Amino acid sequence: MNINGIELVKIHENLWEIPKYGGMLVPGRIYTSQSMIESTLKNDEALKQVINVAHLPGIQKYSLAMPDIHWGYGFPIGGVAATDIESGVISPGGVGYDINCGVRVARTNLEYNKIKTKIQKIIEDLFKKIPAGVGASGAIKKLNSNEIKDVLVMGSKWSHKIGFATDEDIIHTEENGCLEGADPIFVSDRAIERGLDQAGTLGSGNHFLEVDVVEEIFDKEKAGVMGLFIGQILIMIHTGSRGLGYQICDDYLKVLLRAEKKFGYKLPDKQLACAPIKSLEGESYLSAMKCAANFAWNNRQVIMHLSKLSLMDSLNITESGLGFKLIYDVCHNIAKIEEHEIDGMKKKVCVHRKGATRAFPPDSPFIPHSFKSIGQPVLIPGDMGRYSFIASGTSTAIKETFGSSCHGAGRVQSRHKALAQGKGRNLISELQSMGVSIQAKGIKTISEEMPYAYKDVAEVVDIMHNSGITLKVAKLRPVGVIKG
Amino acid sequence: MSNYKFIEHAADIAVEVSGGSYEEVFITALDAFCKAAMYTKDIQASEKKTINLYSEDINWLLIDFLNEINFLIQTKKWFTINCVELNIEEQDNRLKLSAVLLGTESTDSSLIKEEIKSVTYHQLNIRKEGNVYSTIVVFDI
Repeated sequence: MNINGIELVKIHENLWEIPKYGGMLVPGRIYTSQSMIESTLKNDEALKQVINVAHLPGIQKYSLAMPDIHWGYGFPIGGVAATDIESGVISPGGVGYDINCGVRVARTNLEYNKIKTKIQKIIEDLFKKIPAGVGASGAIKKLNSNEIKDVLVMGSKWSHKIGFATDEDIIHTEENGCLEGADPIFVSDRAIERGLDQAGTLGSGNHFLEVDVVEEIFDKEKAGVMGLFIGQILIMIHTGSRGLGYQICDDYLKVLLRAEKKFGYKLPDKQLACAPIKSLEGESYLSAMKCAANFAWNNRQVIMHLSKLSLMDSLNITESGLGFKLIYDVCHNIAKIEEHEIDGMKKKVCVHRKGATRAFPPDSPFIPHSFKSIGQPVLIPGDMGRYSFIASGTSTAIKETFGSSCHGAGRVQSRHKALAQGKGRNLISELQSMGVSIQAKGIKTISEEMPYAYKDVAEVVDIMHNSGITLKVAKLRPVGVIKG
Repeated sequence: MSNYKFIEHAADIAVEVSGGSYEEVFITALDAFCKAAMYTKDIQASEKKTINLYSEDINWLLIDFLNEINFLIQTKKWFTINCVELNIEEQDNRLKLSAVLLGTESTDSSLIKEEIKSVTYHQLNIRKEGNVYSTIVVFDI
C-alpha cells in the first residue's frame, strides 16, 4: 500500500512496516488496520514522523507506532523508540511537552445502581474541590521553592509524607511514583516558578477526572485480581506535570538544538533535537525530565486524595465504606532507561514513549507483587461520552514493542471543527442523554472535547488485543466528568 | 502587508503569519498569540513592560518572544495585549530583541481563553519571498 508516497508493507492484519530507506537506521512499524490507515493516517504527517524518528542515532530494532498514532511534534503521538544508552541519543521530542502525562484509576466499594441519583452532586462537589481549567491553582497551599524541590525528588512519596498517600498507593504507581536520579539543579527557576501553585491541579484541554462504571468484563480472573466487578464505580484521573513540565521541555529543546549542532547530527525535524544520553546535555535533560515526571505523579496523587475526601463528604460515608484504592497509575509521555533483549542480548536502552503506555507482562520484576500473575494494568481512556478500557501487559509486548501499548483514542477532528459542529446545540443535555453528567469551566472545552471529535478507542484497543500486545480486561463507561 | 490566518490543526492551534520585515512578523505573531490565548477585549491595558531577549537564530528568537509572553500570562498573571515598540538587531554575533509591551496584571483567570503549553518549532521557518516574510507557528495546547 502506498500512502502519500510512503510504502507500507503488511506484516499481518494489524501490523504494517515502512522498509528502511534513505537515512533511516531501522524500519518503521505501525500497529494499525487497513481501515484506520485509509480513514485517518492518510490525512496527516504521522507516517513521515515515524520515518523521521528512524533517523535517531542509536535507535534499536524499529521506529514503532501504536494504533492511536497521530501527528505530534518530532515523534508522532503513539510513537515508541528505544535508543542504545552507549551510542544513542535522548530527545525531548520523544517525550513531549507534558512530561509524564498519565492516567490513574482508583476503585471503590460503590455500586452505580445504588448511587446513580447522586452522580450530579458527586460531580459538583468534585469540581469544587479539585482546581480545573486554565490558570487554576489552590488545591493545596502554594509551595515554596524548597518544598517544590522536595516534590521533584520524591514524587508521590512527598504526598505519602504529608498523609495524602497510602503505602499501597505508592506500590501501585509505575516506578513507585518516583524516578531515581531527579536533581532539581537541572530545572530552571522559571520551571520551578510555573509549578509552585500547580500541585493538585487538573489543567485544561484533554485532561479530566471521570466517574466511571464497570460495564463489561472480558477476563474474570484478571478483573478479580484488580478488584473489579460489574456496576462498580471507579475514578479515573488524566493529567500531567502542568506548566513545570512544559517549561522543562521548552528549556531543553533549546539546549539540545545547540547540542545537535555540536555533535554534528542532521535530523529531519527541529523537534527531534537530541544529544547523546551519555553527554552533559543528555544527562541534564534526563534528570530534569525525571523531576517533571515526579511532579506529575505527585500531582495525580494529590488529586486522588482530594477526590477521596470529596466522595466521603458527598455520600457521607467513612473511608472504609468508600473503599477507595488505587488500581494503578501509568505514565504515557516519558523516556526511561530499561533493559530489553536485542538480537539475543540483554541491552540497556532509553525507551521513549510519546503517547504510549508501558505494558509489562506477568512475572515482571517491575510490577507490583499483586499483579505478578496477570501482568501490569494498562489504562486506556477514550472520549468522555463512550468508554475507556483496562487491559494487561504481555510478553508479546516485551518482544515486539519494548513493553509498550497504546494510550488513548486520539482526535479525528480539529478543535475548530468540533466547536463549529457544537454551535447552537445544548451539549450538556446531549451528554446527559448519553448518561454523562458534566462540570466544566466553560462550554468551549465541552464543545472541543465532544465524543465525535475523537476516534473510537475500541478500535485502537482491539488492534492491541488482536496483536497480543495488551489483553482486554474491562470496559468502563463514564457517568460523570470534570473538565478544565 | 502584515497579516495572520488561523489554519486547521487536528489537536492544537496553527497560524500563518506574514509581514514586511522580521519585526512585523513578530508583532503579527504576537497579535495571533494574544487572540488565541486571551480574551483581549476584556483586558484594560495600563502598564508598559520592557523585555530584552537574545538568540542565535531568528526562528528561535520568535519562539523565545512568544514563550516569554506566555510565561508572563501563566506565571506572573501579566496579560500583554499589544506591543508598542519592537526592534531586532545583531549584537555580538547574536540577535537581540527589544520590545515594549502594553498590558496589565490581573488575577482574573477567566481572561485566559486557552492554556498554551508552549510555542513549538514545528513547521516554523521564517522565509522571505519577494518583500514578504512569512512562517507558520504552532501552539501546543
